[in-house]
Amino acid sequence: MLYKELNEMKLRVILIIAVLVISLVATIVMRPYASQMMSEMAGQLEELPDFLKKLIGDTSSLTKLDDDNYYLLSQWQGKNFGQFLPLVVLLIAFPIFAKEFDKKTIYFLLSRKNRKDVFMAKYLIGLGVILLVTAVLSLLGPIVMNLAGYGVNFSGTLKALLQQLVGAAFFYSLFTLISVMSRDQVKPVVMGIIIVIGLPIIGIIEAISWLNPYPFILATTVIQNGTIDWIYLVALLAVTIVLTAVDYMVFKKKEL
Amino acid sequence: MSARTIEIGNLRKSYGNFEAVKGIDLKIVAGKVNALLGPNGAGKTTTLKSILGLVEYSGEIKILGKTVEEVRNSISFVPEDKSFYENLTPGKAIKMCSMVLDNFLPSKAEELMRHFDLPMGKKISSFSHGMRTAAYLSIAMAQSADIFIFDEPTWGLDPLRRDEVLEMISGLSESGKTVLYTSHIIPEIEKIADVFSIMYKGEILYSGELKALDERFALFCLPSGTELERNEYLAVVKETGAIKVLTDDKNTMEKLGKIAGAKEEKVDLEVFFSLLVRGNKNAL
Repeated sequence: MLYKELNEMKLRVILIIAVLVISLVATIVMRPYASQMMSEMAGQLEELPDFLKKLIGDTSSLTKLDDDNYYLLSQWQGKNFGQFLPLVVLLIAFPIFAKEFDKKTIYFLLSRKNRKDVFMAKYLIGLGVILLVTAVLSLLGPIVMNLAGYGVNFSGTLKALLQQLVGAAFFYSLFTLISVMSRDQVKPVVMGIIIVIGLPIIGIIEAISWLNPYPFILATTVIQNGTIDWIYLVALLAVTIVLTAVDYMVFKKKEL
Repeated sequence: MSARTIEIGNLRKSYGNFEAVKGIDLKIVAGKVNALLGPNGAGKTTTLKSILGLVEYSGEIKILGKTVEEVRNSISFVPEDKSFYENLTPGKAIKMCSMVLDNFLPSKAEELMRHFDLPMGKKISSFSHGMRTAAYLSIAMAQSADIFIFDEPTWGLDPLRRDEVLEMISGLSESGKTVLYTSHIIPEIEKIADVFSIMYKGEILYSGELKALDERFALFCLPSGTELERNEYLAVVKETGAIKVLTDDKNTMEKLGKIAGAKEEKVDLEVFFSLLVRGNKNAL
């Protein structure tokens, strides 16, 4: 199963990594200009009327961009990579089951292997690839930054990475559910995009903003306070485990 | 191997309000080609899906005396839709199957694919329908399974390839394998089946050996207008200028033979199938 699954997802994974590596290099190349631009902006913001300052909110983070560690965490983990992570998970996850149902190749597998074995193999290989891609792209941040001559440590990245791994696993279990329920590949993609776009919108409504895992995946507490959001992490992990169990039950009962 | 490889008892399967299989009993004989014959929508594919545990059903199905989950390694299946992994070449498909399946013989698969003249370096996505079917059959037949299940295996094949495939299927039973095979093409069944069952509207109308057909049943062609009590016969079908009557009762055969203008005709599979299905009568 490993050979089959990896063979099917290799092109997607290579393209995703290539695009995000380009994005990482662009982020690091922009480092001197962004820092300078933000300092200038901070100066200009100071001259704004009070009501506009209130509207814009806290701008103190702009001046922190001079710090290499802060720049990397906020612009890579907290922006370019972090924001794309759910989309990366979607692109890897949706075909794992849905393509087999859509192309009817699932008959080949399920007539020859037990459903539990098929589910476990496909789910775990997909999860493994997603966690590996997440770890590689996250850790590439400080590695490339240091190679480019900046002095960056790994402590913030590792904390952000932990949150991103749990966030990626959550999105994977959610997208797998849609993938397992579908008989074609279009619905999982459309539903996935709706979820990726819809969750930040939910986050605007304060009473249910906790439903939006983006601040967690973007490592907001790590960037702002240097701490991991353990409560959200444990809660999201629990939801992921429940969703995985539901994924399996749906797959086990699915009629062909 | 047990004499009954697959035993089905009171199998029922519904899709919403539609009852696709209506409490059938079926026994698949070991080491023989067992054919399930029926028109489209008869419930053949649903029966196969139930045997393989691909759908939920009520009733009992035992394969080699066990549940399907316990004997999956002993089964090779070719579905109605012969879709295989299109991004693979036959060479890569063989490599993949040898990694995924415990009972797969790569050299046999390669031999069969070469026999079917499949281009080993081209992706399956570029294959014609017939070539895809040949590729799927090559992979399925390269499994060292005890039971081979084929759902309309020759659909889309040209006549030469079709005969080759039928010979291969016959060869499986000659080497002691059990074959369960569905089709709606009567000449195919006549060519390779040892035992056959007729399925229609979710019911088994007949199950028995092909060679015993002519010995057990008699077909009479009577003049139109002959008064008959339909319930006394297995099937009564009106045709232009004649009434065809099928029976397996010796006394009835004698009685029918005495009717003026009655002619006894040979009972072949095509006539037998047509009469049972058109008369919608159970001859079990």
